[in-house]
Parts: sequence; structure tokens; C-alpha cells
Amino acid sequence: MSDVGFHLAFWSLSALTIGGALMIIVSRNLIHAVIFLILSFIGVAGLFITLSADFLALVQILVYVGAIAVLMLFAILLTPRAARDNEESLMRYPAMILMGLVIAAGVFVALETDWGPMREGAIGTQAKIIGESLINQYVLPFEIGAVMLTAALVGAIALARQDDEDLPIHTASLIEEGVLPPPDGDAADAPAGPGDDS
Amino acid sequence: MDVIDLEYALIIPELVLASFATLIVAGALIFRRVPQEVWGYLSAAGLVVLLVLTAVFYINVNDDFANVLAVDNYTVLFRVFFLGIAAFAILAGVQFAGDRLRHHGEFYGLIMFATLGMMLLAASRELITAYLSLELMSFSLYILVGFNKLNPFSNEGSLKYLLLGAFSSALFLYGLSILYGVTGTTTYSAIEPDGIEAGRNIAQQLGNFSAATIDSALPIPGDVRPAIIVALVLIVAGLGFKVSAVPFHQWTPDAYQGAPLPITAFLSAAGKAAAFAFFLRLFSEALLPAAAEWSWLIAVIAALTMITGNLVALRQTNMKRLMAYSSIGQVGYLLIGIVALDAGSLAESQDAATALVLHLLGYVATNVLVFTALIAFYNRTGKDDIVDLRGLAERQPMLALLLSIALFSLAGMPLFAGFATKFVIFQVAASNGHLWLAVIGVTVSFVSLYYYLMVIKQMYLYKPEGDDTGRFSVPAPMMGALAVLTGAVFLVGLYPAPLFKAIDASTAMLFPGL
Amino acid sequence: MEQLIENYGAVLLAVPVGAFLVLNAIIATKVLAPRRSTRLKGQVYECGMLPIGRNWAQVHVRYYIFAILFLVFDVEIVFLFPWAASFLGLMDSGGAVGPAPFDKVILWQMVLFILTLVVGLAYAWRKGVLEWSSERVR
Repeated sequence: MSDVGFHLAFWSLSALTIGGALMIIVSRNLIHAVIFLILSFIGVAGLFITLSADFLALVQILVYVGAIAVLMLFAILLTPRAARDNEESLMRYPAMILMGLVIAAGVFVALETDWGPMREGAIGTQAKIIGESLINQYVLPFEIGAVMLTAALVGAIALARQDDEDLPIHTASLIEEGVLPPPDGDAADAPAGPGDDS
Repeated sequence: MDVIDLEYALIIPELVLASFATLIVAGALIFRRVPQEVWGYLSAAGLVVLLVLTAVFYINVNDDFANVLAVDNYTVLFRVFFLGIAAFAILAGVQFAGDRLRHHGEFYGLIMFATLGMMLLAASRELITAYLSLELMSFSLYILVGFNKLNPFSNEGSLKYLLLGAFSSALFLYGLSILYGVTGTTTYSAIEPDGIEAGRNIAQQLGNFSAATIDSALPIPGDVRPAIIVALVLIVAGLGFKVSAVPFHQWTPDAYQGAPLPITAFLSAAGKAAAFAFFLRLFSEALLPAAAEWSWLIAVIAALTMITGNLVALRQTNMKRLMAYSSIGQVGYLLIGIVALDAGSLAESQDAATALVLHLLGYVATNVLVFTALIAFYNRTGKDDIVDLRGLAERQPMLALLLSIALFSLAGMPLFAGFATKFVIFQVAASNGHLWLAVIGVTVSFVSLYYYLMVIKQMYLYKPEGDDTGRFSVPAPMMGALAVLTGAVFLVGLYPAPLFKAIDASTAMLFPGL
Repeated sequence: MEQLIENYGAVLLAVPVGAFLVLNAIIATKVLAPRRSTRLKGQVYECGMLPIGRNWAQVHVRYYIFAILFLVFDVEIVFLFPWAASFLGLMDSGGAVGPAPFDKVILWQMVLFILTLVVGLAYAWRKGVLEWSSERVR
């Protein structure tokens, strides 16, 4: 009985993951593609559970479905309307053939390799085990992760945020390119004024 | 659970650098009235102090931090090296940043965060640590390339670098996960037999598979061979992107052209050196037992890289793009060093590693010299096409001379660093059984002389053109950096023995069985 | 394996049941409901002002920065959770860490981690990213 349930879960979750991934490529609308991506993420989370990696499944839902998908949606909403659809591509068929070969190679490798035996962890203890290695042998990667996140955050804000410092040079460059008229008299300060944050 | 005794004393330079970078960012944010030059010079001074202290306190320590980070002579060599390059990049970039960039605190801070990633990358001897360090470096560099955020070229370069970089990181990570799946561990090799992983490590596992020492270099048996080959292909592809080897080089010219010049210098020097430091440690400490499986692959890539990089460079008109293709050509020479790791004995493998690091150091010093000179020129003119250099010998003879020295060194002319280091690397290739690579290398070196001479011709044989033809002076800190770098280029070219010895002592750490 | 089924058997049952209920509702409305669409019914808002322009407006970049902030601290929580799980265990067992875990670096490792991320938050705050209004920020 338990084997039937396991196989049922594995095959349906795999179908969900791969089906979602296929729909991402096929869908013309980028928002729909993100929704299918979420579906695929959920399938992967389920697969993690069948591998007795509960905590990883939780992380998958929390980070990928909860945060990264939202980030992607905002990224799409940031772009103008015209850029939101998948275009036709001349490289479609070569890409299909290439991906077919890659998938064939992957399946071959997965089936032919003598993978070492995996130790099956007890359910419900993964978080504890991960925590113990995080404060023990893997404390350094753990702290590097924090520095990496901070550097990325600082950089993202420095790049994405348009603040007062940028406005004068931005205006100057627009004038130089002829987008804005050169400043004359009173109107000169207007575009560069403070508070024009949008 | 056993609590490991973590020796934090071993990673003090990294901890200090992280805190220092944070303080610079915070300081520039809080004290807005302080001129930006202060933060730049402060950062450079801090890096130099840290460099000196690291060199004094960590030589011959040869320990490891929780088996994830090796603090050996190899690590110390690269710590000193990266700190030095970062200091030069910041010194060269202070005026540039003041004129053309905003957010100076973040600018200097991110250079130091990238340096931190590089130092950790050269030191890591465990895949997760290595990957996170690589990403710390890459993230900082993606941002820095796009730092001139109102310049469309900068945006384009940053975007291409980011997208291809993320893609290559994914390939690389997939390769690492397959490697983990096969070997069941992420540690390169065990330093002590009673280490944390109790002797289970990648090198040993791969050695068990092939059931042979490196001397016989038997192929790995069929039941794990496909997985290991796929893992190696993915790892080589991922690292190929990072070092910009052909055919993974397409991002390089755009990123180099778009990035602010000091960042181009930093990217082409330190970014490349860090990727190679990691490449070398991974392939010698962990993957050497599988050398028969990867050496042919890297040999093909090395040949392609040397030929493509040097031939495409012939057609460039922009100085930054020229340097991008020139650096791709140099990557080809450096990859020969990796190929030559596949040798009959560990001693010969170590010779290859030494040759690689020697050429890397010589190339990087020369490249930083080229870019520092270009920054000095750009600060005055704001132009970076090759024809813009016309008549530089009249306008600023010293700068033209130093730039010519650097270009001759890159071409591998005698007297300069490039000759000595190239000679060593080609010699190792020949003696380790890859003579054909050395032949290609020598041939394309002559091709490269042509395009370097084209630049020198512009500087010396033409009159200055345009509205701005006056003489100009180079500020003192810049001149000091140029003088030090030129001295280094001559020193490596004329008397490489001490450097060679130091590198030899550091690469010995990569071959525990030696 | 037995434990897996024990823990997730309910999920395995709930999935088809849930799928059936949702599909049932969708199909039932398709079959049963009358459809007479008018232009007014097709509007985004059925009451209130008529919408202007296309339905996909370009959002401001500050949403994106907020999402990045959220992502960073989401990841922080992911790390906090296993740390807390093991930390309590270590305090209970007592033996491995000793009588006073606060003397040990284990606490400070997490403090360092959080502080590093707080630096990022402080930076964002100081940069005025957390200010929503378009008033001048420092």
C-alpha cells in the first residue's frame, strides 16, 4: 500500500513539475509563465517531501513560491507593456533539438550511473541537523551567505533607487542628448528640483 | 553532536575586510560632507595595511578552518594579491569615480566585498563555501559593472554579464550537485586523516573509482563515468564563463566596454585571477584523480580561446574591447597550465600549477598597468577608442611610454614580465606532453604583437587630433601606482626567481600527496 | 517510508479531493450558468470610475526594492529556523555545549549573521527606501 502511495505521489508530482516547466516555455504571456513557474516550484517541493527532506520543501515554498515568484512578478510589472510577451524566435527548432539532446543525456546519466546509497534521514529532524551543521562545520558558508545577501541588497538599492543625487546628472545627460530643452532662466531648476522622486 | 573548535584567528583578514567595507559604506552614508576622495584613499590605505599584516602574520601557517577553508601559503599569496589589486583599482579609480560616478561609498565598499569573495574563493576547499564565495564576488561585480547607471552601455554590459553569469552559475552548481551525488561529499581532500569528514573526500572517492594512482591515470569505470563526465563538462562550462574562455566569452567585450574603467581593470585582473585561483585549487586538490577525463576538454577550450581571442582582437577599434579580446587570448595561455596538470607525476603537475600562477600574476600586474594608464588618459579626455590615443607620446610622453611597456609585456617581448611567464608556461606544456598547445600559443603570440603594435603606432607615429591636443599631467597618486606596477613588470621580466620560489612554495600546498 | 505515508497520507488524500472540488465548481458554472456578456460587464470595475488606459500599468521601482528586502529577510528566517531548532536541542542536552551556551560562539554566530543583514536594512532605511511618500528624504 505504502509503495503505491509513494509511486502515485512521485509520478503525479513529477508530472506537475515537468508540465509546469513546459507551460512556462509555451505560454506567450509572461505573467502566466510566472504562475506556471510557481506550479513547478510546488511540484519540486512535493518531490523534496518524497525524498524525506521536509525542511527543504518548506524552504522551497517559503523562498521560491513566497518571495522569488513575487520578485519576478514585480520585475515583469516594471517593464512596459510591449515587452511582456514572448516573441517568436528563429532559434526555436535548433533550441528544441539541443534541449532534446540535453534531456536525453540527462536521462542516460541518471539511469546508467551507480549512485551511492543515500542515507535516509529521520523525518522531522532535518532542520535540527541542518542547524547543527550551520553552527559547526558550515558556519563560514553561512556567514558568507549573509555578506552576499547584504552586498546584493546594497547594490540593488544603489542601482535601482533613483534619488536626489542622480537627478541633476540625469537631467544634464538628457539635455545633452537633446531629450530635454537646454535650461533657460527660471525653468532651469524645475526638473532637477528636490522631491521629484517618481 | 561534536562541536568543532573553530579557529577564528585564521580568518581574521576576511573578517576585518568585511567590517571595513561595511564601515566605508556606512561612513560615506552618514558623513555626507566628507569629500569622496577621502573614502577612496582611506579604502586603499586600509587595504594596503591589511595586505602587509596578512603577509606578515599568515605565511607558513598552513592550517585549515573547519575543513572548509585552507589557510596555507597558496591562500596567503592570493590574499595579498587580491588586496593589492583592489588597492590599485581604487587608487586608479578615485578621480574617475569623483568625476563620473555617484554613490562613492557603495562603489568602494562593493569593490572590497568582491575582494572578500575572491580571497575566500582562492582559499575554499569545500564546494559550498567555494560556490558562495564565487557568488559573493560575482554579485558585487555585476553591480559594479552597471554602476555608471545613466550610461546605456553600462546597463547593457551589466545585464549581459548578470544573465550569462547567473546561467553559468546554474550550470556550475548543477555540475557540483552531480559530483556530490557521485562522491557523497563536498570536501576537496582531507588534510589530516582524522579530519571532520573522516577521510571521505572528492579526491579520495575519485581515486577509489579509478582504483589507480595518477601515475597510471586509468579511466574511471563505466558505472559512474557518465555522471562524472557530465559533472566535469558542467563545471568546466561554468568556470569557462567566469574566466571568459571561448565559447563562453560573449559577455566579455560588452561587460568590459560598459563597465566604468576602474571596474574593467578590476574585473579583468582580479576577477579573472580569482576564478583561476579557484579553478586551479579545485582541479588539483579535488579533481586531479580524474585528470584523464577532463584534460582533453580543457585542451580543446584552451586552443580555441587562444586562437579566437587573438584573431578577433585584430579587428577591434575600441581600446576596452581590444583589451577584452586580448584578455581572452591570455586566458587561453592560462588554461594551458590547467591542461598541463595532467602529467605523469605530481611533481610535474605542480610545475604546471606554478607556471599558471606565475603567468597569472605577471599578466594581471601588466593588465592593471595598462588600465591605470588608460584611466589616466580617460580622466583627461573621456575617450577610449584606439584612434583617440593618437599623439599621446607628444601630449604625455611618460604615459605613452608606460602604456607601450605594458603592451609589449602582454605581447610577450623579452625584458618584460610577459616573456618570462609565457616562456615558463609554454615550457611546462611541452614537457608535460602538450607540445601542440605550446606551438599554438607561440604562434598566436606573434599575432597579438600586431594589434598591440597598432596601439603603439597610434601613440607614437601620429600627431594629436581634435580640439584637445594639449599636454596634460597625471596626478601624483596615479603616477605612483603606475611606477610601482611598471617596476613589478620589469622585476618579473628580469629577475623572476624570488617570485617563482614563492609561488612554488605556495602551489606545493595544492598537492598533499607530494 | 511508513513514517512518510503516516505524515503525508492526509496530503495525498487531500490533493485529489481538493482538485475534484475545484474542477467541479469550474465545470458546474460552465455548464449551468447563463452567459450574456455586455461591454459594461467586461469592465475591470463594475461600478465606480471607468478605467483609463491599458490594464497593465508600469509599476514603480520601489515595489521591486521592497520585494528584494522581503526576499532577503525571508532567507534570513529560513536560516533562523534550523538554528533555533538545534540551539534548543543543545541547551536541553547540555552535554555538548556545556552549562552556559551563551559563553560559546554558537549564539554569536547567529548574532553576526543577523547583524550583517541588519546592516543592509539600516542602509535601506537611511537611503529612504522605506519611505513610501514622495516627500524629500535624506
